[in-house]
Amino acid sequence: MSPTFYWRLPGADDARNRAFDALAAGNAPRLPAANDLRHGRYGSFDHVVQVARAAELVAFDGLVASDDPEGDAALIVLGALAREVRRLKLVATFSPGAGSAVYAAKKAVSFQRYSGNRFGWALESSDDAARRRRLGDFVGSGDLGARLEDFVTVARGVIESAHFSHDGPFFSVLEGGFQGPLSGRPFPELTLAGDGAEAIERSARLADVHAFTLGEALSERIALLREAALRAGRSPQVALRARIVSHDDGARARLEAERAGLAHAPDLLVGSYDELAARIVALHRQGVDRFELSSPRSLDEVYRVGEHLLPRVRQLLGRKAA
Amino acid sequence: MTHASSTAQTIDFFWRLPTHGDISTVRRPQSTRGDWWPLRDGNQAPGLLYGEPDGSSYIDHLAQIAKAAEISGFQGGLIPSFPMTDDPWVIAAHLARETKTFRFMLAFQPGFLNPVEAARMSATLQRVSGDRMLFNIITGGGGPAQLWWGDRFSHDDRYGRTTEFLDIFKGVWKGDGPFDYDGRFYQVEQGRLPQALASTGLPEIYFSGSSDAALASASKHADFYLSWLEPFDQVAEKFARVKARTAALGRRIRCAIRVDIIARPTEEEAWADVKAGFESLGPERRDAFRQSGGDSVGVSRQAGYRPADAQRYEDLIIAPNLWAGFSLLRGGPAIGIVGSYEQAAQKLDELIALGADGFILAGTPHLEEAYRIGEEVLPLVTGKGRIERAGLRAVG
Repeated sequence: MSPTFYWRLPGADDARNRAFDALAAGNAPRLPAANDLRHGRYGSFDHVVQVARAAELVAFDGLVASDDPEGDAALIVLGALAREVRRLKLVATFSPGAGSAVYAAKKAVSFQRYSGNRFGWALESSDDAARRRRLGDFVGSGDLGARLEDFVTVARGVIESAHFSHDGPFFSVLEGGFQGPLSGRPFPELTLAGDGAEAIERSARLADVHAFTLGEALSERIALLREAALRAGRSPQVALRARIVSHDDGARARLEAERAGLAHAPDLLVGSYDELAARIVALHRQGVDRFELSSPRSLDEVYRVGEHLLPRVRQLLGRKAA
Repeated sequence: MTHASSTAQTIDFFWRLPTHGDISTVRRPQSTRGDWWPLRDGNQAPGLLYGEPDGSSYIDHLAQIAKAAEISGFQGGLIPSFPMTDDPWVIAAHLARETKTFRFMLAFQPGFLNPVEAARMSATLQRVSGDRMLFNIITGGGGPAQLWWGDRFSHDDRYGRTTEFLDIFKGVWKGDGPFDYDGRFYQVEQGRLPQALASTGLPEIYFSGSSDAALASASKHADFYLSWLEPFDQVAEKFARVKARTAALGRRIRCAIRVDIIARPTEEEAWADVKAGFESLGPERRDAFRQSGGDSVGVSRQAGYRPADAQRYEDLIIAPNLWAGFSLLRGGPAIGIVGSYEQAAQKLDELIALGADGFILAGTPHLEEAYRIGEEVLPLVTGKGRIERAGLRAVG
């Protein structure tokens, strides 16, 4: 199977997003000499749309929206993008602590109906208890795994069955399930993450995709997932999260990464298109099915990857041009 | 960008998006739009062309209605939420970028999202749409449907929960710095929205509920108190009670009415359409209607009219131009307005004089009727009653 490529949309930590948000009405003009008509008309979402359209045009397979407390809510961002991006899969990241499992499932069903079944979930809660309490989530760190499983049980139950009852420690439902055109929709493709044995074992049982972050001992982590999946009789895909800075000249790529403060980032893929194509093919042969990439220069890098890197990857793998 | 709400001289008119399909004519409720019904000749089920997927879906139909409403003079539309409907957040997000002025009134039960998450989702929607979202907060309902949603709290507890929810929702959005709250239903520690989100407009809140528990909660947080249409003396009494109770807390609340309208060039044509729709109902539709349940006080108040047992459409005429059988023709409130364009406008003016500051109107089919009501009825509504009420307040 060919690897697939997903792009992580720029969020609150993206410099261009911040610049667009500074165009809010009432803010001081940013162009000292120009008659600047942008204020009050543009915001970071306009930039996000351009990145999303770019990813669609250069043959990416999907988009991932982050769950960043300092940024926008992933579900709303992807809903607004769904009408502008017609082919890409749309993966929303959120926490099972954000609300009711039935309510989340119902949103997923509408999303599937409107987007042609392109919607996915990446379920994650912060490891940091103080940060969770800032979000109104007071469930203890030791209970996060159990809550995630309870959430998936209820959401899957009401999406996949017409009469579903469940009385769990965190979520319950009586005679739940969707009727009519809301029934029979596919459960959102489920991405889970984590490097610990418990997270890997859970993904083997529940996830469609398990996401690792590029770093040490990747082969060993993939092997652990494969073993656990074999025991569970399942075969979740392996996704690899990485930041990427590419250039036709590898030295220039490394210079740009250094300027972005990423020179020593363990999750960085940096180099020339040829170097990175070889690296990606090697990672694919190590067991990576999906690459979930992001970059501090989102729009430029989407084009560089799509126009220069992915064609080289396809050639190395003997695939047709996209 | 902010959206000015009603002033002493203006009334807020909203339309309604049908979130579980539509009917193509009130004369024949069996002729449908949307994939809630099978694809057959006479039924238009978006997404299928000759039975094959065609790349469109029900959201394309909703987009048509939203655009029709905004160009016809409506500020926006209510997006209802029930177990069988599509989800209002998803609808609003999908339509935000392809409408210009349409305000998305999301029906929302506060128990279903954590308030901090709800605030972040709302602020994101404000950013994407240019401050065009607002809420219709629903708290009552209940019975089996509430357990279907996975919600076990009792009717009166839910109003306490709604109050706490809105305390936090507003606290993390517009509070001075990090917000702490230790309630019975919700807690938050040092919560706040990031600056780019917090600088958007706090959504206006339309609030529904007829019970005492509802009124207590509405008095604290609602901008508009929303009621289904009831007999006019009851509407007047209810609005007076809500306004007095809120005034006692030092706040001002406005009132709005959610009502269906069948307006035609002449009254005869309007009643002829009611008659045709009523007489095309089968016994199964009446049986299904009788089985509707829940512990909502508003529903009980309206069920007193027993439309399912009426033999003739005339039996459900409860006052001039008021018909109590709308719920038979499609889900929702029983009492609606029937008449000529002038009579429909006059009824709306009477309600304005009784205390209405806003309306959520609806007609079947929602697309064409948005144009008709916007073109034929809204221009005839004078709003004089509101000006007179404002004048009385100014001198009294």
